[in-house]
Amino acid sequence: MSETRTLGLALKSTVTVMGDLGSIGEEVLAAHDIKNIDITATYPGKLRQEIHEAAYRRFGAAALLNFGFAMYDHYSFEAVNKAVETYWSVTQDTGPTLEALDAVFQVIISHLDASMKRGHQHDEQVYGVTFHRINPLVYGIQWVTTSLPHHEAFAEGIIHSTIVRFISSDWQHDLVFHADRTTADAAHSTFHWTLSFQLKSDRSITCRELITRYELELKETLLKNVLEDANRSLSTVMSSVKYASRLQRGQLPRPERIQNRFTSFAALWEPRDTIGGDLYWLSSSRLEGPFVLSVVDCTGHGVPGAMLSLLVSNLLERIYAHNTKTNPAEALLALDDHVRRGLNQDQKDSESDDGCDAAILRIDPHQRLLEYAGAKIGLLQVSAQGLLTRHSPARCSLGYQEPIGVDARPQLHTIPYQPGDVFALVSDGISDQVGGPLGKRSYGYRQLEATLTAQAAMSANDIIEAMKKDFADWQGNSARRDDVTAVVFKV
Amino acid sequence: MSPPELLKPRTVEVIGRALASTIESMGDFGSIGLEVLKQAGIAEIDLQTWYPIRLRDDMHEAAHRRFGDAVLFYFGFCMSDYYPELLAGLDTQLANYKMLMASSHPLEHEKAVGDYTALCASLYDRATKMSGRFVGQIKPYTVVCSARGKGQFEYLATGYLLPSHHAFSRGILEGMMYHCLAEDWHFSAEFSPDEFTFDGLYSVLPFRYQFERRTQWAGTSAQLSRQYKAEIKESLLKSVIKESNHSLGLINASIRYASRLQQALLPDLVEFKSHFLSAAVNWQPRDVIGGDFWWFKSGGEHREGRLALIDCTGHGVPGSMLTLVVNAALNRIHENTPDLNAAEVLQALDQELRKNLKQEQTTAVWGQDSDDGCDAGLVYFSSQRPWLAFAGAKINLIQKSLTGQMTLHAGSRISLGYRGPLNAAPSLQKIPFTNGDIFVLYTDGVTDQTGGESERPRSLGTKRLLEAVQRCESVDSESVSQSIWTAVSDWQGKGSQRDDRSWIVFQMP
Repeated sequence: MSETRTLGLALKSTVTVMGDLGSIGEEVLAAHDIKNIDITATYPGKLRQEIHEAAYRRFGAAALLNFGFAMYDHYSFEAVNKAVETYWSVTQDTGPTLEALDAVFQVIISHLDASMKRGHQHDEQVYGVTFHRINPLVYGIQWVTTSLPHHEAFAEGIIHSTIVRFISSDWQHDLVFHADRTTADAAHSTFHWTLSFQLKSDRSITCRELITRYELELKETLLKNVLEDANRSLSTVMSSVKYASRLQRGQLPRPERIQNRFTSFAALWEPRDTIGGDLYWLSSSRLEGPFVLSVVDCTGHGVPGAMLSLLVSNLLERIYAHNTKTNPAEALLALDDHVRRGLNQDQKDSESDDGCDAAILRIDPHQRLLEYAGAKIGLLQVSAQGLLTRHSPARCSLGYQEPIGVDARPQLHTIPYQPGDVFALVSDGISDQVGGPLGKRSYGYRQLEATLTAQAAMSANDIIEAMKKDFADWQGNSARRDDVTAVVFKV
Repeated sequence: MSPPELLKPRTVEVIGRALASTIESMGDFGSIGLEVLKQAGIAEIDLQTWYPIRLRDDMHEAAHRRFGDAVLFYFGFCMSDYYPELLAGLDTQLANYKMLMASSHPLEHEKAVGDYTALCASLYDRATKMSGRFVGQIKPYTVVCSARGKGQFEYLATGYLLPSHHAFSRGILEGMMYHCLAEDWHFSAEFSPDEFTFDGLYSVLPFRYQFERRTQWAGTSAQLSRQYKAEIKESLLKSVIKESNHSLGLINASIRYASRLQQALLPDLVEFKSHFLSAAVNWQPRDVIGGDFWWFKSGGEHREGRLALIDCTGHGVPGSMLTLVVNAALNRIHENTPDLNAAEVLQALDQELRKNLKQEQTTAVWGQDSDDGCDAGLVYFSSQRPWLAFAGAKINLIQKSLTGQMTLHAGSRISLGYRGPLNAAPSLQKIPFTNGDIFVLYTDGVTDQTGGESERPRSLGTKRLLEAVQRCESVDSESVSQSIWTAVSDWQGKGSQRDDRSWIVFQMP
């Protein structure tokens, strides 16, 4: 059996008729690598089925009914117009008659039939629309089409639109679909309806007005379905977000990893939208020797950002699984490599280009030595005397498709410290936050450093509180720009 | 009263009836309104009670944030349907308008519009006074209309309305104007929301309209109103579709991302197969990604191997996120405490997960839905031992000997990581095998798959799965896997996949 083909014109009208739902159609075309429809070419009949199916899956039969109803504008109805004119002139004096209805109905159906046949090219099966009269005012309609068996609403919309358009001010119609009589083979479906007419007592309501009413009704049902779909999607998103948030919070250091390691330790961790790409991490309390602290800012927002942060915390856990011997600069390189491979970004055709900024500290309280390496996240140190030192990070990010060049690699800084020295690591969500008197400038580092210097004698908790307050004052009514993370500690 | 006092949200209140009509006029959008009430802890609205205006603001804001001006305009436009008493007697009030319009003198027509717009303003004025009030001070809502020039009128609405929700007011006004005016006049709004002021309590919103006499009969006001409603619906449809597509885009992006991460975490199949005479893995998530995954580690001079099949709660994105956590926990346990046996690892995994997942349980928000965990089957083997160690938490191990003898080694009836400690320790099973024995680990998505010949769909069940394994005549993992595949898909028939389905087949050397 040869393949059913649809004329480009029909396909194009399908996408156009879908109106705002059309993006669904365009997506299907894009999936088949079709950019523009050539209206004179023919395309696999499957394409239109797929477009209809995509809309049907999301918005139900109401979408197909709407498409069918709007399809009218894409057919030429000249022959019908003539018949309808005759109908009105004949019935002007006599009022609506059975003979006139029968005559115009016959033209409408045979014209639909011709239009269907023009839209498709096919080998053996003659498809189109036929009707037979069951008794006066009641007709049986049979429609052979390339539509899928459960897409009958599309054909139904077409029938409604033609009937309403021409004779609805005289006749009320009632279309009953017989689902049990639908038959289908690989290429066609056959649908059956019973269409019954009832004479109206008053022909004062125009067809045009009835079309509007009908359209309004159709739109209302469709709107309801679309809204349902929107709500469903939103709740899926929300539940993913809630879930990610819970997992993400569970990944932050537990108290036993913080206890007994610092004189004081405090962290500010505020994802912009419930979840985010920021995290801070501490090595296991079971491991002997120096311990490791890291602050990471992953690209991406929402669920992907949170998932990346889960991956990164897992990777840190692995790098420092057995001991904490790996120095921070090597650990950053390992992180870079793992993230790239973890996201398959080492593959040529990778669709993602994600990564993270990070700072890793290895702290040896016995020797009062701290090793630091940073990729776009710097380390601030303030001595008990209030002397500020900035330890600058390398200007590279980790994990992106492009591996880090040898020259750009993070350097290892070995930093001696005194008890009472304050250290701070902050993500760029703080420095990039706009605010201030005009709500237009970035927070930057100056104010942060001032707070840090002024509060250096206080506990980490007090410093974070002071930073938080100052930062909130700066932000004022401006919207939060990014995830915000700050870790302050004394060893 | 000091200024900050003024800004207290309770200073403006809205009558219950207005809230109810807001929800009702929201129609299918009403669920957004109900959501707001739920959050405020209000189960039912009392029509006679005054509520904080915050409630209506929140409803409007929730709808506006998702669907923009179109939705608020639509609410406003339908508002008069919910205040029928306002429109009672409208016909008599319109008599004057109709009389003036019947005149042939254009000045009379101009006057007619003036009267009509004043009428609309007074209707709106009455509606707002009925529905809202300032508490503790006399500062009423007012809506007045004044002529500004030829055919131009300004409605000045003062009272309480967030300027960003101006489309709601505009909808109310135009809804009223359509009750009569549309038949004779074409009108267009000519104002910019920038002109609106709001001091946190009191807003001043000037709405200007330009009227032009229609030169052609376009239909009755009622007809035009319906037509206009259809147009509004159309633009509303557009916003809703946009939002729906946006959410779907987020979902798809998350799924693609999760799928990539998940694929990257799965073990290297070639390395895995190298430990066996033959091996096959079928990993079949229900929705691209899922809660099933498998894990494999090997090492040591005796080529020791540790294989796990895990089935986490949930499907889709949440399920796959949980697999990331479980995978990390397994790695951590394996690396920190390599000497634990399979049963002890399951116990450690349970503790690790509970710590990881339950941290937030003290807060009420997460308390409800945090009952997550996993089923697991763990197999340890070594080239030195003629037996393998198996521990299962609701995951079983099938053994088929070369002679065709079938044994089902059932896992313990426990799940890991869920609320509350394990009610029993997982048991460790020592399973002797001979060279060439085939083993199958599978998740319950396989046996729970519904289908079959009978009227009412039934689960595939363990018995039919065992039959499928036994039926397979070739003695290699790939064929066994194929036989399971056929059995499950035949059983499923035209039905849909119920759950993630995974199985791992391996043949001991």
